[in-house]
Amino acid sequence: MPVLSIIRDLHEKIETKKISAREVVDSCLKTLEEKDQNISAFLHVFDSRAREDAERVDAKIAKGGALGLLEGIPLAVKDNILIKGERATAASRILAEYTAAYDAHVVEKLKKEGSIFLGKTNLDEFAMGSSTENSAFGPTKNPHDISRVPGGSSGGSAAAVASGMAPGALGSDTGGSIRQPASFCGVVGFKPSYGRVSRSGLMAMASSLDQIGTFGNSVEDAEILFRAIEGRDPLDMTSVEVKEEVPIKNEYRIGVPEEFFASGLDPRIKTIIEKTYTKAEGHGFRFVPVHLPNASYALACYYIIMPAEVSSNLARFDGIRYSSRAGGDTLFDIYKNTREEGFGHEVKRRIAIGTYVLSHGYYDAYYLQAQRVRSLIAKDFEEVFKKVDVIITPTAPNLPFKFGEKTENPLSMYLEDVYTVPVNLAGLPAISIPAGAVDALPIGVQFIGKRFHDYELLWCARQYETALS
Amino acid sequence: MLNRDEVEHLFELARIKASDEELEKLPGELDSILAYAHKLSDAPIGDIPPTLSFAPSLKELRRDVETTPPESDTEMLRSSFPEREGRFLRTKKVFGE
Repeated sequence: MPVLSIIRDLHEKIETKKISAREVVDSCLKTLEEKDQNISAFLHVFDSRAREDAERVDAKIAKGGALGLLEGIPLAVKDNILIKGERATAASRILAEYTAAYDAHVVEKLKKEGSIFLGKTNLDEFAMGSSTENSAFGPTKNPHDISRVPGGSSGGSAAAVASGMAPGALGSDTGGSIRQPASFCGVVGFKPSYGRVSRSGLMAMASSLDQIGTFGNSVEDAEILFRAIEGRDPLDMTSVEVKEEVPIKNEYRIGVPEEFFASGLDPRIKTIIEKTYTKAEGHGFRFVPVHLPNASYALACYYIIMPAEVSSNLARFDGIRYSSRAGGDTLFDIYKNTREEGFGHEVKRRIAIGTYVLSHGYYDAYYLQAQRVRSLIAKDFEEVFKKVDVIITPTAPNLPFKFGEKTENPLSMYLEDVYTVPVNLAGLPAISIPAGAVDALPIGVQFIGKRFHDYELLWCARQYETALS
Repeated sequence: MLNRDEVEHLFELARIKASDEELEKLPGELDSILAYAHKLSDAPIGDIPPTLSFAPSLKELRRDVETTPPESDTEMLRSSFPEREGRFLRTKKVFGE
């Protein structure tokens, strides 16, 4: 049985007047009010604006106007994506009072589709983290067990969708920040190919890795949102227009990279994923062992390139233009004091690493070496994709962990991203879908596709989701 | 091994005032991360070129067209200035005496 698309279902009910757009928004806001005291998925809620927007949609229906698929559908947006006239903090003290002066390209597109924004969701400060524990405004809790993290950095968006506060959400993914929280919260999280969605209006963390993506309760919901936001935007020169036709095949070949199922993976997760193979084989999937020999370098590579880009992207937050400024006698003191007061520990740590690896004498040994290894990792994927259509891996090596469990040791937190970062380094699309649970804690399985074959990947993920349901 | 003075210098370069607590904690943390990154030197890179960007061609730059945003947009940008004087951003002297 295909998994129900909540967005399509709501759309049909709104269009046939079984329910009004206002009632849909009211119901989401009610769930939010009841549950978010314990979950803390949202940083800002736009209740009156959302209700007004819904009433506009209802007025259009009353006049008999045709309704787009996303018209009247309430969505949550990660707080590092700009909505004009609304706060945008990136969960950082340095932007605590900042209001966005323009819409992100993706927000502009969703507004044209008639979507309604419920509010902005919590994240690790500037999207740096895997648990939301680095948010300056307190962590989000996992809706399946509030003593555990929801994953990160888009933990607020994942938790909002998982707990029924919103039928869909936007997030951003630099090294796994959509897929890992989707896995931890038991929802679908999709990171498109690099370049397929404009980054204009997304606060830059690591520009060669960042990508905006979508959350839903089904692959179809994540796909509906992706279809609405993808495309070339003149304001992001890395964005491209892709015409993609999904080939009809009787059999899809899934590559199983041995390196991703070896030591470091919780054996209970391995068992659950391997159990799905039998079900999928009945749905036209064939499993082929493959190798990604240089994937073991991916995390080290990522933790050089990403901080290097972070250190230069975050230079703009210096107390001069964006809302907060600390005192100081000289301009230099203002910079230093504003950044010391405004940034949290993880952000400072990454800026320090980035500054180190880009400094004279270390650039070749660290940064350039990492960029060469990055090419090697991308080449491994190219080779494998000559033999298979998609690749299957676990999304995360561990179950959702307890608060505080990994905060003292940065490397153990970074290892959470071990299966997701190779994808960003190679610019590929990938999706996490629920595969089962251990002790009522959700587990996700990741599918990786060929670059710019996003709809083919989504098609495979939908078939797999159907096979598991 | 990074020492306290080197970390302080990195913070100076990054324009961040370093607290005593950070100068205590960070040398060890940065060391463990950089030691982990050292495994990259074993990678069989051969003569593979670096991937510096995924940007497509530079041939398709957008046209440089003059636009005048509405005053309300400009005012919205100005309203986030930490300190202002009329339409101007106010700050300390950029050049010394």
